[in-house]
Amino acid sequence: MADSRESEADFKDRLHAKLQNSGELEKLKQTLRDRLQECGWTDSMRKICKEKVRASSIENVSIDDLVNEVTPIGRDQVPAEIKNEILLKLRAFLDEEA
Amino acid sequence: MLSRATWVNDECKAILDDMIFTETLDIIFQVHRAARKGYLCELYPEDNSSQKICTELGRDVFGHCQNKVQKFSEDIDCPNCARQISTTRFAPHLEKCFGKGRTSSRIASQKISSAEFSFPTHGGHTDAPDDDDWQEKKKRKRKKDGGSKKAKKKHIESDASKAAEHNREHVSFSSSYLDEKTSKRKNLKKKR
Repeated sequence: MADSRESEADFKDRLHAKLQNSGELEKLKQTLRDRLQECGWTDSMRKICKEKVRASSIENVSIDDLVNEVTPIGRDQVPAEIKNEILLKLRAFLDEEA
Repeated sequence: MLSRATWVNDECKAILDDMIFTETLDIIFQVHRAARKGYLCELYPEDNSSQKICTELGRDVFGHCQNKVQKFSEDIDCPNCARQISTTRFAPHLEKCFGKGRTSSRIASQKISSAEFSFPTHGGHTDAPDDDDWQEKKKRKRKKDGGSKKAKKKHIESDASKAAEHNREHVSFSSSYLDEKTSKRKNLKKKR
């Protein structure tokens, strides 16, 4: 069991390294950024953050607070199509390894 | 290699989560910095009214005025005639209004000359010689302006008019004076 776990971790590291080195990770990041901007996710997130800041009414809002509150909202708000698109691309690239 | 397939799936999901988190952080940093520095209001102005379509009469969808030519300046009250004049027309209007321009000064001087000739009828004949001198001076000025032919013509004409002057009344002199002017203008036109 220990072996398989190690190899799992190593395997995953290897996958990640492959993505990074080939530049595919960067490309996919950019694609995600574009899709989110197109569907208005970024603008919506900005509004939400702004409202959180205003609502908290603390002079110095901490980043941690914002992160803890806003991240789950962000994750939910991403449209399923975009998620699937990126997942498919990732899988297509990494399935060669499997 | 089923387990590996699941690993790949897991890894893909993890990477996607990571990417979304990165984007979220980016936005949070922007907003946080704006909040700290105090320009949050300007950064993303939420103006619901600006998104609405303007349905006012005479304006387009964005609320702009339909007429392209707009009055960009206020009218100025003329101190002389007390009318409202546009700023771009103000200077030329003042010129005419105060009588300092070319045309208006000529008109004014004409009026003066006609007025002077009418006055002697009240005062008697003692003023007549003065008028003659004044007329001569004017004619001399005219001679300097024109060419030799023109000058001779003028001279002849002025002599003729002088002769007529003594016979006619003073008021009618102004009409002959004007005739001179018109004939001079005709000569100029012929020349051209």
